[in-house]
Amino acid sequence: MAGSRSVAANLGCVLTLAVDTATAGVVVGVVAVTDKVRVLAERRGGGPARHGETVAPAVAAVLAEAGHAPSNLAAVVVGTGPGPFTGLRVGMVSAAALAHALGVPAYGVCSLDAVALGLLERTGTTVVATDARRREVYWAVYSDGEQIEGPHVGSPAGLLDRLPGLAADRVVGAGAVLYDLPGAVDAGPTAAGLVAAAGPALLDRWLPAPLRAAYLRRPDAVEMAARTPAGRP
Amino acid sequence: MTDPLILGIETSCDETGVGLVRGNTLLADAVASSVDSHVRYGGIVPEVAARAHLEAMVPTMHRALDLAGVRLSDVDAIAVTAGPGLAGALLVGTAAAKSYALALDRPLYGVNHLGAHVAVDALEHGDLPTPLVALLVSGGHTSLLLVNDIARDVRTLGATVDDAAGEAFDKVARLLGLPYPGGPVIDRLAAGGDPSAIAFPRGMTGPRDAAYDFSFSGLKTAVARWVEGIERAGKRIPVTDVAASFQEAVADVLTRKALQACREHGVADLLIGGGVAANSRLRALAGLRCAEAGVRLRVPRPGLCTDNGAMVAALGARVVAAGARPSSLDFATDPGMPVERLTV
Ligand SMILES: [Zn+2]
Repeated sequence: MAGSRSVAANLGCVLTLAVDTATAGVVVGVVAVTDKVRVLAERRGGGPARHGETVAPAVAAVLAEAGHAPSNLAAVVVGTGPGPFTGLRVGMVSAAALAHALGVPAYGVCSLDAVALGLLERTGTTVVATDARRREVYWAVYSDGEQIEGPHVGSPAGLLDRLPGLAADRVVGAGAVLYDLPGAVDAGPTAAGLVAAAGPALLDRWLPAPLRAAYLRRPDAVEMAARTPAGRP
Repeated sequence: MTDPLILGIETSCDETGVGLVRGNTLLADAVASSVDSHVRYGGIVPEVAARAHLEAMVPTMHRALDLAGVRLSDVDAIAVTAGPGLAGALLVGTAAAKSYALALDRPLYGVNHLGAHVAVDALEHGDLPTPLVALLVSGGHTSLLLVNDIARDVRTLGATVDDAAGEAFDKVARLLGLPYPGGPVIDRLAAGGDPSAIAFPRGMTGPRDAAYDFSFSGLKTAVARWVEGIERAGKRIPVTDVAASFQEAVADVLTRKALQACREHGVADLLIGGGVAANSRLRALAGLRCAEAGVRLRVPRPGLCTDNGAMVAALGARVVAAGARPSSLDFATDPGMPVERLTV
């Protein structure tokens, strides 16, 4: 998480909206951040290719459940991927637009961090692998909740080969489960994980860095082959 | 009483557009185009376009607000293109629009991109006359519409059965070794060529063809065959004559059918919109044939013909004035949205 630290520290409560659409589902939550993280309302679920229909109503729903108007929000945190679904952009642009309209900062975090930091148990080594589709996974390695390697995109077999050397205490994520990695446990991004991934930026009101999607892949497109210009014999 | 301030958001193809409109008054029209990123691919790559929309959305919004000298809180309603268009591109604009509507607590209208191409002319030439025949021609669409009420009643008379008119320009430019996009370069070269040099076919103009449908793939193939023939003969390709003759065939069919529609439906006003409306021969020939037929011609200036946010705001203004029900936050984009469906 990049960004410069502002001088003024805020000791109050930062009411934060957390959003992630990097996986097949949608994660939206309202979180009260003090020295502790308290999730006031959270929605998780929805299927792939439905992000566009789901996010805005889910934001309205969690705000209503938490008993807050949008104007009460003081910050937005959003997962910036990696994510294979076109929906990744839905969460990011929703967060950017909400933050602009409300005049609050939007902090981007790695969506894999939001999985690792959403776990109850995070001491030792954690491998997070999400579904990258096209028979690949996005993965990263964490030591006591700190990302020490990744994020990568690659074949499940390639990650499987790496696992013994990593001596992971746990392997989590939809990608790990989908490809039957040893000891795989399902886990996804959570509102608490997103806020934790933003770290001290929220309470200390760092200036946010511009949101950049982590695609890890180039667009599929073939560049035009050079063609001999006509008009010459 | 002043008209409401309408914010329009457009992301159906490769332009990120944000416009601000009050009634028929254009206050701001900010557009960020990703066309340069598509040049090396020789056409629009949906994933490249969608990535560019995400990056450009909020900056373009800032630019539009600055241009108009208004704040977001001044906005009374938000309109956004719900379709037709590229699925991934539409998702970015609609998600942004939903968030702005939610945060500002303003009504949201998902509207039809084709209808917006028609509505935009009110910003330049005032209220639209009704009924109206509209010819929409661009890289993505070619349709002939009968507009009875731009907020409520638009019907498709015909459309292309294969390539869009702008797509034909791109493909012919490509086979002549000319850069993408093909429209402007062919227009420029055609000015120095003879439009009657080569008799290229006029597609879908036979007695048994649908009166208002178009086909341009046969024309493109005819140009390709002709160019191959010259190449085989080892002769130099007369690029300006090919450009002029091809452009003439396109302009001829488009205007012929549009005026036939005016005649048959007893309509005295023709509007031409979409990016290809910037083509000089299409404008000139339409002007000539409209004058002969006693039909009034309306063509917005080129900047309003290509995709932009002002056109979406312009249709939004008509839809709000007509008292339409706002769209719900869970509306889905509709990449194949028919023009008969003006709002979602
Ligand atoms: Zn268009």
